[in-house]
Amino acid sequence: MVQIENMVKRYGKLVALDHLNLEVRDGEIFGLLGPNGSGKTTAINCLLALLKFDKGSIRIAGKEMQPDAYDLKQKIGVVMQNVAVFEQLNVTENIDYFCGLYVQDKKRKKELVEEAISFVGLQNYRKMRPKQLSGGLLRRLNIACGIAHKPSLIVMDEPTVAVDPQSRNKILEGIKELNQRGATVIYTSHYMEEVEQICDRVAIIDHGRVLACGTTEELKSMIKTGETITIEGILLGEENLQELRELPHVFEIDYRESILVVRCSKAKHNLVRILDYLKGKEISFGRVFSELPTLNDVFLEITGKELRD
Amino acid sequence: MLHLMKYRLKQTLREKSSMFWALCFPLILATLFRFAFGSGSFDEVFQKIPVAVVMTSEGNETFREFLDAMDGDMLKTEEMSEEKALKKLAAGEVEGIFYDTKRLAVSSNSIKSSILNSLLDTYVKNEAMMLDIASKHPERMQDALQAMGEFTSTTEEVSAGGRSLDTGLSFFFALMAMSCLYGCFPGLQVMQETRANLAALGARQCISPTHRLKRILAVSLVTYGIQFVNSAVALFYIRFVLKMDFGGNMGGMLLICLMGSLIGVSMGIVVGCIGKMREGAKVGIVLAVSMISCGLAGLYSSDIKVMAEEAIPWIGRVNPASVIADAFYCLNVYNDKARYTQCLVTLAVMSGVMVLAGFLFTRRERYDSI
Repeated sequence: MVQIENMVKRYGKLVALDHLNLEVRDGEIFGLLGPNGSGKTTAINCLLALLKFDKGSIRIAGKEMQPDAYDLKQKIGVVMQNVAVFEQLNVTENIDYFCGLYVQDKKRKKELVEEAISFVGLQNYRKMRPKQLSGGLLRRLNIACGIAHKPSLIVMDEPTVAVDPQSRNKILEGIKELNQRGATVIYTSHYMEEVEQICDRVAIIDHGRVLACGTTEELKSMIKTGETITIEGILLGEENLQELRELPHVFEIDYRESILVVRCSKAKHNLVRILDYLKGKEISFGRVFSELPTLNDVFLEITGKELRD
Repeated sequence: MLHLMKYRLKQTLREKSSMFWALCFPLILATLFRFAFGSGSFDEVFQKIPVAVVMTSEGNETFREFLDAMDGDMLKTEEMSEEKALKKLAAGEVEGIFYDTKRLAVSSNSIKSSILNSLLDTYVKNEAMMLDIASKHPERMQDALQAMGEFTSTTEEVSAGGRSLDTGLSFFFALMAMSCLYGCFPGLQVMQETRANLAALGARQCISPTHRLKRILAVSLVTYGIQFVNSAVALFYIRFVLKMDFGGNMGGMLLICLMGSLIGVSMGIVVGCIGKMREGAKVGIVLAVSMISCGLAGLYSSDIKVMAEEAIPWIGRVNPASVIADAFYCLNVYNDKARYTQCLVTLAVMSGVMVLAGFLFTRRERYDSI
């Protein structure tokens, strides 16, 4: 559906996109995951022909994307990071206005507007102006304006920023539903949980480069961490830490403020081995939990920094 | 296109602050002007223009008689030597020097000197017409003289251009200019909401398959229309509610409102197209430009207009507010159709240049940064 090849975008000396390569397949939800300033929005703006780029090419449905590629634009729906609706128009009018930019037939447009209102659950707010809506409802209106014309490619640039958990879940469910109806979705976020929850494939991006790309399972299998064990309320000496480091499959230990975090490679019985050691040394401890690797671990191992840094 | 226009109309009419400045503020200001001047000042009639008349040996007798006829009505003539006349002109004691060779000397580009110019121009044209009739249709000479007599009678009764100048009117002409130029605010808003690098709304619309110029054209047409209605409301309010005797024909004045609105909105559009400044900064620019422009056109004091025209004579030709006010003068005071047309053409050309500049700024625009 979308091919981005060797895209370079510079702002003066700053390289925002550094030979970015991406391929988004038909019918998938593709996640662009990266910290703030990693180049996600720049990539999206270039993709939508809003922004000039210095090098590379973008093809959508096999055609080159240009500012005047109106046939391609007809197929694209965009949900911007910032809410982009008219303050002077009510919910129905806003959706009707944006839908009307794509659909000329009045009857068809009316049907689409009604569908979009139902889809985002704004039936009871039709006559309300944006100022009268809560943050979550406003985000839903923003989404409705972007998808009312039933595009085959939907680009969503961090649509859940500053949204309460309830509205966020509603939005994520909506995105899945759109995808099930046949739309290809490009979803950018710096919330790894969201991306893990809804995306079929994910590209991890930082400093304008794709660091890794694949399904979440593929990404997790790329890294050394197989399990992260956290033990709270524990008092350890340097000798204990050294002995823990020497246990099989343990490759990293972090101990601070009575919390021990042990990273182990993929193996069986990692937790049992550590607990046996503590029992043998008669070391008391509080809560213990074990986590499988997350996308944050993937990001941490690849870049050496937390995703939310 | 109609879809875009319908929603632009709704947005603009619901934008209270914009409508206040474009529609209500000029009406409030006009009412305040009316109270400030009181009814007395409106009865003040145009003072006679002091002019020197210099006789020469090659002078034209008919022209001398014409000047005599004007003396005491709209002119206050005084025959003197050229040397003395030049001294009086330099001292500002007379507004101009009429030579009986059908020449006129003026020292400044003021309204009074415009009236003198217009007077001479009218005489020269009439004389040429009479000569033409005499050579081509001598049998109709009598009728022509009779018609001319009627014309002279009319001009004698109603003064230079056909009207008396109410000093308070100059403020209202400047006010009408202000009303028209306030179209710069909705014009600016149009561009702010249309350009992808200035607002998320602009970006969302740029991504749509509706051609950008089609969008700009649709919203601009609606904005022009609304601004014209705003100006027309101000004109009707001043004319029929405040009962200011503008005198000129309403159609002609509405045409000025139309062209004035055109330049007001165009000004907003061109400022909206320049650079990536924040909206507040651009509002500041158009506010400053419109207020300075109206100030130079005499909104705050008619003396400012005169002083500006004396100091920088060309300013009145390029200052949109001055041109609008001047068009009202031409129509209502000195009935100068040629200059009225020139004013409208000037406004049209300036608007065209601004719209073209805006078009060139936005054409195939892909932003360096958003």
